[in-house]
Amino acid sequence: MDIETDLVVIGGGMAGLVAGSVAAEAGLDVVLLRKGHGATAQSSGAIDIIGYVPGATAYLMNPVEGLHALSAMCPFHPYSALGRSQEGVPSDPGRVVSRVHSSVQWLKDKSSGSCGALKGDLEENIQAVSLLGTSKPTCLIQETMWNDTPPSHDSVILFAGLRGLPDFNPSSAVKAFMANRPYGEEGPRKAVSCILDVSSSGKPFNLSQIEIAQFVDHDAGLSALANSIGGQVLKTGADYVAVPPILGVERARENRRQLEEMTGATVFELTAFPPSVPGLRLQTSLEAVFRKADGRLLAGHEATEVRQAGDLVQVIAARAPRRTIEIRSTAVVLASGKFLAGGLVGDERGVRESLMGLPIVDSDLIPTGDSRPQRLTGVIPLSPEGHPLFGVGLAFDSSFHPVAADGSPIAQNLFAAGSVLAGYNYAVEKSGLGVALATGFAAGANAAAYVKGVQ
Amino acid sequence: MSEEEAYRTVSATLEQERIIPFKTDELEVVRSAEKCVNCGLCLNHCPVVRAVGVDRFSGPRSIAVELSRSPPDFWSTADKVYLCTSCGTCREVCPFNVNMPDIVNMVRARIFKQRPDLVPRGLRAVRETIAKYSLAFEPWEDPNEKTESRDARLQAAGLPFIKDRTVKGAEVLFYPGCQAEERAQEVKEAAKFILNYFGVDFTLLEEMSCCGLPSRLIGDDETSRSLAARLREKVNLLGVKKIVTTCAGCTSNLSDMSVRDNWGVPVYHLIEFLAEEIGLERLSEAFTEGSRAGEVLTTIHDPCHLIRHTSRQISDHVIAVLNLIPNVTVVPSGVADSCCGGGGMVGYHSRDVADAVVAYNLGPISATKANRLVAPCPLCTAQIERNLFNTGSDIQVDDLAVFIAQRLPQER
Repeated sequence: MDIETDLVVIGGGMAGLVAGSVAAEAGLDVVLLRKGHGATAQSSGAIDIIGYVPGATAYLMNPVEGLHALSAMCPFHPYSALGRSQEGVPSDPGRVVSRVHSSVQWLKDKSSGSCGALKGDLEENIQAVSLLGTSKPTCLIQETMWNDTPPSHDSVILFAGLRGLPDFNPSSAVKAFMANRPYGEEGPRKAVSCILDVSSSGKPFNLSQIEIAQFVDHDAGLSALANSIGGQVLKTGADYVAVPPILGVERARENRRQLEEMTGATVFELTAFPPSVPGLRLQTSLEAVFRKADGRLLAGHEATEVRQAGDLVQVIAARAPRRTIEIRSTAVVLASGKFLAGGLVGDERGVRESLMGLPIVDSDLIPTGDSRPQRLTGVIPLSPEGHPLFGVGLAFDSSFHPVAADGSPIAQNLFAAGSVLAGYNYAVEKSGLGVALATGFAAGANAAAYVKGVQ
Repeated sequence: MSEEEAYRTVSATLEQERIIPFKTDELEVVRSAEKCVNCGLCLNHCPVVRAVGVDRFSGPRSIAVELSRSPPDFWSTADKVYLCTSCGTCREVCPFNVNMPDIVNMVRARIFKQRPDLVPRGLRAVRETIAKYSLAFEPWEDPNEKTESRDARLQAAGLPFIKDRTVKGAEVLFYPGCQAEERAQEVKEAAKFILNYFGVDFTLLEEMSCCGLPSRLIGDDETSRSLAARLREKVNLLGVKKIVTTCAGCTSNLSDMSVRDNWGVPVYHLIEFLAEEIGLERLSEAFTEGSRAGEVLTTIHDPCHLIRHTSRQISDHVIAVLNLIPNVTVVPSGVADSCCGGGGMVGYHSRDVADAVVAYNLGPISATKANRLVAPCPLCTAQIERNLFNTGSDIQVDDLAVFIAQRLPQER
């Protein structure tokens, strides 16, 4: 045996890193296997808890209300499982809210001061503005996207693009931003756009967000950006400057503070499409939390086999590019993600859990059998109902054990968290990272309790 | 026309159309390129993109989606594809683990065959050296001078000389790699000393020859395969059961060759061999006896060929072994796993790019206030040492083998 440990976590996104950190903080030896980055690194870096109740077209102002509604409407939702003290009882919404709240508070505390530091509260959804000028409800955003005071009616907001950066068209963002403002809601008096000249290579073409962000982490880049923004602020009288998320990677928060000091305006980042710089910052800060808790992260290691004896999983085989290892572990958290990360695979034979071949169900807990993924999609590409395909995954109990068809755990020491779970459609609910956070938090704590119980 | 005839007709025109069919062992690489979803996550992590921007080096995504899919016009990619340091960061972060380093090698192999004139001049010079001597570095003209240089290096490192030996049927082949054989001789000597100290039944090659990695990176696939085959023959003749090397590139390349061509002999980096085969307990005892060197605050550089091409576990081994040594304190730099810029043969033709890549490491290394940097790879050691020196830093850079050997007892 190459490694012996208390807990192996399979998957290095939000769910896996949170589960691993929580268990490591509880005193466990934790080894986390990660084959590559998944949806967390690809995300906008904002953390959605719950934006829409399934089927609804109006967004939720308050995620707490959404959690209450979910626990009444969707008994199989992972959030609802948090509200059950044991199997077979109805979900207690107060318990759901309190457990989600604990996980949110934990994450805010742990990431505080890091490049992925978060702002926001469970009691209120934020309308985060995107590169398109549209907005979406989300719960926590990074400090560099946050405004303490939203634009008032006499303010001017400037959408600033960068010459050579094709990802952002500020003038069309202004149009969408103004067109999408609800009638009667307070907003800026005026929205204008400009193009800044800031280039790490000195060339005004073929730039990517990451290289500008890395450039801004250096003094030369920061002062170039400050001068450029400062000039436009003088010209337009802008109070707010919205930029793509390029304020830096490691030093983003400090850069923003300095920019605001130098330009006199409030400078904030818009949310961007995957894979964004804030997604990188989120991933980096989660990994830092895990390492700080003394977790051992084996990047580039793909779990290839989990061997089970009786009702316990015991050995996990993993493959690095040129080595294979075997790990004996007291417990396992499966946080291997969905289709992007490869936790689930869909092809002409149906949808499968890729590592152990665990049974797959849909959001209503109906086994999907061998249904091809196409059978699980609707005819309308974008609809409030979404596609059932994104709700499929593992069936699980209130302790987050994956379960067999009769509801019994697959193994006493196997837990699951994040998007490998069935029962929630993150794409339409806007709940992806929130479910990953809350279930990772719960599964990590449950695994720690299990390991301490048997020791 | 029968199917057989059609096949013959088409394959006869391949050369004329300048299409090189894929070898069986390349097919997996081709399929891997097909898995790319064009997300661009790799761009956030590529150290060359960070150093020179996407305009100079278009990055892994562009190689996967554009540059690798244009036969027979691979030549049009020559201004980009030689700037990859083959660090493997993109493969490690990719949601689908698209095998970028090998895709790059495959594209370079096709340019090498179709448009050798586009192979950077610096690489053609290395190729000539390899063709002439079967070594990546020009060997010493005078064997006596080589011995003198070795002795001077041993003296500087404060290590005793362990006689070279070639023993048929030995347990372990110690394979120093071209750099430790011809240039960084102290690394070879340190490893011999360490193996000898622990009573390992080891042998050297009768005549050193390259593992084939540089040729592979240049795109000279034929030479790479023939060097690997030649080495395999020597390994078979010696009848060894394990291969141990001090070079990160040799570790990953030989591990790959050993599996690809069924050598049946496992390959270890020295640090893996120490941690896994000698064991931390024996190491700890030895270090306790040998603790005569002064206090050292050291930071670490992890070579890409070990952590990303072989296994991340190796960096844990390095820390575990260093932590056993009395008077040695390890300080993390936070950039231990970022590329030194010297890989992928980039340093041989685009020194500016290689140095721009290593620049990212230098600040954080200096900020650790360490007085030593150790790296388990002679190439990384040389690249970082030169660049640290140029910034006026007085941090001493040591190959890990030398650092360890200096802390073992010399008399038993």
